[in-house]
Amino acid sequence: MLLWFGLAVLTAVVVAVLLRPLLADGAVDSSSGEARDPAASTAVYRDQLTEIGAERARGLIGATEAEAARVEIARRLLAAADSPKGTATPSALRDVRALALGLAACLPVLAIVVYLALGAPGQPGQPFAARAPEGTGTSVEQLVTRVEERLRAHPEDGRGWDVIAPVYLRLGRYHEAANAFQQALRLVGESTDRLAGLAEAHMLANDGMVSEAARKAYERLRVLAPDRMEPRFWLAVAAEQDGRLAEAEKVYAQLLTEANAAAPWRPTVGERWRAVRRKQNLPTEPVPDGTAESKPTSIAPALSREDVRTIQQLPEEERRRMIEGMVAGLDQRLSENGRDLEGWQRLIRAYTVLGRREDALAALARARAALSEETQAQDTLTSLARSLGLSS
Amino acid sequence: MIVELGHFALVLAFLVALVQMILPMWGARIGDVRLMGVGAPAALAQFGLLIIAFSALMHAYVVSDFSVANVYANSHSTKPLIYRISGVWGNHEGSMLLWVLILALFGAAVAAFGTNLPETLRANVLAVQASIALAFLLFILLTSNPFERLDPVPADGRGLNPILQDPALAFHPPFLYAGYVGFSMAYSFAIAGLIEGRTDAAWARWVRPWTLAAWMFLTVGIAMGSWWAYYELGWGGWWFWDPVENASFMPWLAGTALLHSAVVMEKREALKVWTILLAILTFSLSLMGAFLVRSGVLSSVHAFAVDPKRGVFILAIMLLFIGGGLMLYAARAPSLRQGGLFAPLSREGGLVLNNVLLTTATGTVLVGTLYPLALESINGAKISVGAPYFNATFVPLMVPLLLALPFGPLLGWKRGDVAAAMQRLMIAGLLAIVAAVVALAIVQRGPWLAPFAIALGVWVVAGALSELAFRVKAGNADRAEVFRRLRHLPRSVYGTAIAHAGVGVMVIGIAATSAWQSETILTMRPGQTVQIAGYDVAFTGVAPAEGPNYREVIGLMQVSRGGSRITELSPSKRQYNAPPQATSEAGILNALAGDLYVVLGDEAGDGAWSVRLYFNPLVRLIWIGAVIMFIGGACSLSDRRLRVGAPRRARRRLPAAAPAE
Repeated sequence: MLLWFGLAVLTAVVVAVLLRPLLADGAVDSSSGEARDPAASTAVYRDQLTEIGAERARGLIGATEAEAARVEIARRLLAAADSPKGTATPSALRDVRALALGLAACLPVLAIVVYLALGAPGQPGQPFAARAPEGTGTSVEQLVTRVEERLRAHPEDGRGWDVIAPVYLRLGRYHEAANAFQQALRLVGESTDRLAGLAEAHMLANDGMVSEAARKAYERLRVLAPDRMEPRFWLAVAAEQDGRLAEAEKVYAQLLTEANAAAPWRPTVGERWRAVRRKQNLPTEPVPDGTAESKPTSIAPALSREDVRTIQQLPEEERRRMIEGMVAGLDQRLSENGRDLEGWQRLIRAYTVLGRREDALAALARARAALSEETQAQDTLTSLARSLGLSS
Repeated sequence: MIVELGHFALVLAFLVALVQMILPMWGARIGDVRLMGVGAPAALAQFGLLIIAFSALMHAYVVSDFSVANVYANSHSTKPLIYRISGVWGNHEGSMLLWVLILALFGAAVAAFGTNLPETLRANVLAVQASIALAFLLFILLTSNPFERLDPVPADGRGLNPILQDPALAFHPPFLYAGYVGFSMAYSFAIAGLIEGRTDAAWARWVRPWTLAAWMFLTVGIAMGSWWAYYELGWGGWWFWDPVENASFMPWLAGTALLHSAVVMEKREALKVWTILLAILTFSLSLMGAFLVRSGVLSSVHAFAVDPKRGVFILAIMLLFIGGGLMLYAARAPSLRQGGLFAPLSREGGLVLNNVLLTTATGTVLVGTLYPLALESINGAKISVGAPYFNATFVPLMVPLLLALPFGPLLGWKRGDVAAAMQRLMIAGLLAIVAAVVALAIVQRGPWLAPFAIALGVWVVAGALSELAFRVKAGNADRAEVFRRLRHLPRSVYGTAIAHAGVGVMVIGIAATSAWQSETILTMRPGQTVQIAGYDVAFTGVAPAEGPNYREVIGLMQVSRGGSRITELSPSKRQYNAPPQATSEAGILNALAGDLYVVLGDEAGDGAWSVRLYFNPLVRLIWIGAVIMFIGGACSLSDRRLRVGAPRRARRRLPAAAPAE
């Protein structure tokens, strides 16, 4: 009600201000208006005439030029003084009163119509300080606000960051989520959940691009929890985004082969695998499938899909022999040409899976020796060794 | 309720602008005093309503009312009060509201102080001014309404872009807009003059104070923006020929030309047609600046608002006012009579030279700004036109302008005596030569053109002072006479001399800092010391710190000279949380000879950091020069002659004027 009263007062004042000159007694206004027009410009020219005198005295203009300028200005002065007077008449428009009435009627109506179309008269203002006092609010937003306030006062409160980070993630405030996970990791310590959250937040904040920060977090996570699938998957996505399609495809295939049929992420990975195959102009059928067997086949990437299929159909004993044969072949090949990091990784992993720890350690040492000049390869080997539990 | 009151006031302001556009112009046409009389109260009412609307929005920001979408998107309950207030115009909607508020302020000023104007001219000016306001109010109501509400109300706001949380930038837009929008007055006067067919010496005098005020604000606004870029962006530069900077610089160049040509029109009624055109073009360039910045066609550090719908709307406004103005000009200009005659070598001639050079310079900046955009829209190629282009085109135009500048005020009207002017400038010339020799002796290294640029600046400053000395006959008259003359010199003469001296001071600053800036980029380890421009800068390490809404790494730099410790600089790298953005804060030591400017770069591993150090000699003179120009403008604005013509004063003078001649 108060609002409508305010609007009415405002409108009334404006209408009154606008109508006053229209309804004013015309006679007084007109006489001053008539006299004013020429007076304004003649005053300017008179002033210019005096100025010429001053300029002459300061040597700004020569004697003959001053005279000429004076004549010029005098001519303008006469022209201005002679300009037709009294063109302005109060009665030029007979029905000014009708116009005024029309204005007084239309202006408020139009204002209300436009305002109702745009405004929200029913909504009260809600200053921050006057809002629901502390403790009574229970909505997620209010809880978040309270935690935020606490964190501003105690930015070293790692538990607070830990609590709020996943909430930010769910609310879609990805940048803040990434920051909160980062703080929690720094203050509370490393954990797989925090790393996974950090990576996810970074990724979502970048519209699904696996950014450098996300990649780092996933790489660390893969080391900490080699059995989790999402670091492997997202690093493959990163590879795909970097244009390393073959590498991505291999990991997707590996994931599909290892997954059991009920895994909820299976269709997603399958979709990505097909997309990558399409990009390389390769057939997209059949999708790699490891559901027939529950046995993990960690050396599968070394083999073509057909080989895997063949192996999986063999009886247990024969399959083991065949795998060992292939591993021995790989070992042999690497002894002849050691500059193959991927081969070495595969070999070390295979020995570990087969339970031949001594051989794995020996392969690791040989790999280090063979690739001694490549520091990056050394790093890869070190992290591989750590993830397989081979480092002392 | 306050928010809704503000919204309603905005709607009412729109309707009042409609009335203000139609009735006074109609009244001027049919000669009805009562209809014309609506103009002034309507302009005041429009201004009052926009004050209410703007205050309502500011109130919503101050109390953090997040039921207003604009407040939610651009503020935060924990933001310091000053940035909550400056946040009002730190966003698209709010800055457009500020734009129309200033537009209405100028209209209201004409209504309140323009009593010396003829009735019809004032009515037409107010009507044209209202038409501009109308277009922008429609734009606000339809595409950028700052009073849009949110329901349910969010718990807290999104915060303000951290790069804007800075005192210089808080006050940069109001000044800049006062300049941009102030030129709308020149436009309104030009259109009103064309409608009435009245463009004479008196017109030029009436339009002058408005142009001068706009020019002053724009000068300070641009200088503030440049100062902000200097210390906030961390590149050690003060002007980047960025399209947004150019967008504010072009109206300034054209406005400077307008100020000078209006003098000729006022004094001698010459250059009429040209001055009118310049008035239209200056405001057109302001509108183009608004379009470039607000439509988001540029993506640079300034382009905050990106929305094609708005861009098209502003483009339509721009085409309407530029096209309409130029069409009216084309129709009416041939009928304008030319006024006084003058010899080529005269004050008028000097001002024509000034205009030719300034408008050509505007043209080169315009080409450099729009060419990349045109190219991009044609073939999609993204190129950037930077300093090399402008150094090759803009600077050569400025050199003759600065060389000729001291002559202008010393030449007589109608026919000047160049030989006499040269004689009076002898001392200034000698000083300039001495300055060049001294500069050469001090630096003893290239670039070899730099001492001449310094000499040019000294020449302009000394020339401006020699004019004053000549006016008061210093050296030729006794002391009492000199003081008497000093007192009686019109303030506009002081204004001219001060503003010209400001230009010279700025030129010295620009020349020195462009030619002799020393720069070192290196990787520093803690304990390492580097030498630059006589300073020893020792890097002692970095320290993390935590701000209200950012984390930062501070580099600790001990600065000493000749073994004695001077100060400690702490450049830092900040990472803001929301929105996440990295900024760098430069550490700056300002001394008489120049600024030592240190920026912390990225970590290079093993505790080493990349560090950039600059020494910018005399860089402060650039902004000091701008402030001096502002003071000169203010001095000129207070001149008696700009107030002449108010009816009461005129009548009082009537009897005295006749015998004096």
